[in-house]
Amino acid sequence: MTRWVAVLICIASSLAGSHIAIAQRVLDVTDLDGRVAPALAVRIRILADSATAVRLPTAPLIDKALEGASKRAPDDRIVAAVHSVLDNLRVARHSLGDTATDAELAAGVTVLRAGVSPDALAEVHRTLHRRSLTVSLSVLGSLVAAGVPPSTAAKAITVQANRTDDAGMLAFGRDIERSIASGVPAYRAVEGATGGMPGPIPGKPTPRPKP
Amino acid sequence: MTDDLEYDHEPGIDERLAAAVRLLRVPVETDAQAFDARVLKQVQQPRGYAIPTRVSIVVSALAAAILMGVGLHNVSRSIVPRATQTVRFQLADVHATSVAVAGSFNGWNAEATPLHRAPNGTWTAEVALTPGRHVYQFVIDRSRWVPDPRSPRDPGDDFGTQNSVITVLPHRSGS
Repeated sequence: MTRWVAVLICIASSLAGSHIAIAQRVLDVTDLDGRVAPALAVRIRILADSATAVRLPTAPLIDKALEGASKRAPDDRIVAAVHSVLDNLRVARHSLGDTATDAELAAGVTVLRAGVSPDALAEVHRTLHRRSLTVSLSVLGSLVAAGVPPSTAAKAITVQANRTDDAGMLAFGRDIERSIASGVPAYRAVEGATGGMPGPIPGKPTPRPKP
Repeated sequence: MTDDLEYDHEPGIDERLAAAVRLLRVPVETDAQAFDARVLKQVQQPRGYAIPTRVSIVVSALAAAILMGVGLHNVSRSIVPRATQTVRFQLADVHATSVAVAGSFNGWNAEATPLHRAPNGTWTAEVALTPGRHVYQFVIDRSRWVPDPRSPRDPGDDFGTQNSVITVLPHRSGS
């Protein structure tokens, strides 16, 4: 009897201490099964095969397709969005180089779609070549979304990257977003956060995709 | 000793051999009782430490708990990458009957991660996220997709509404 009580106590304590979390893994084409119509799945698989052929990650494509399916977007719109992600993955690879991680490429896609030019993205990459780009690109994307012109935002990121680490970069982005939300014009919010900075990175911006 | 005499008088037996035989035939004096006592002493000696039964049960139980904990941890690691950070998603909506969060971390599954309602109408869920950039939206009443008012927006809006962004730093740095 005592033995069984001890065993039960063990099981209970182990379960209580275990970590319950959402399973996060890299998406693949099998995740489309049951989530999108078979005909749409075929079209997405073709795009995924194209990505694989040039050693680009397929997870961002599947992620975009699942997002569209969950939001009940029309199939053609989903395919167009996935196609756009694939095109921008190619550009991001060119700007960030062969050593870019899948996460960096995905973040690169985001800023390209936000209107940051491939040249500006490459410049950010050169400035931050010794550290992970994911956080800086994430902040860059958020600044553009908050209303900062893409070239100004890219320049702000390259200036700030030399002054702070990833945590500081996140705080930098939050400060600017907060200022803009409180009514400060975007350029002044950036200027205030960076303490003044030189002009924006030149380069023809990537046209933003139309929804 | 009769045999000794016989050997002694047997012709052809070397005198030294006869001496050796005599020596070997001398009975060895043994103390049988002392021998038995020594054997019994060895048999009855406790083997190492004597552990009381209850103590052994508790020790076994603790060992089992540790092993189970390690096992569960390994199972968990095989599903969830090790360096996750728990992130709290929160939305205030007193009129909603259900709220979930869907995003790049759960395959945009609008039912996988429900938020729980507090009496004041605040909906909350805690999710372990890997370091990196995650985009998401709240799904209210299983149909209405809304961005998180407290988080930065993603610049893209492929499907009509802008997603929210959360960037998770590796554990050491904090986020």
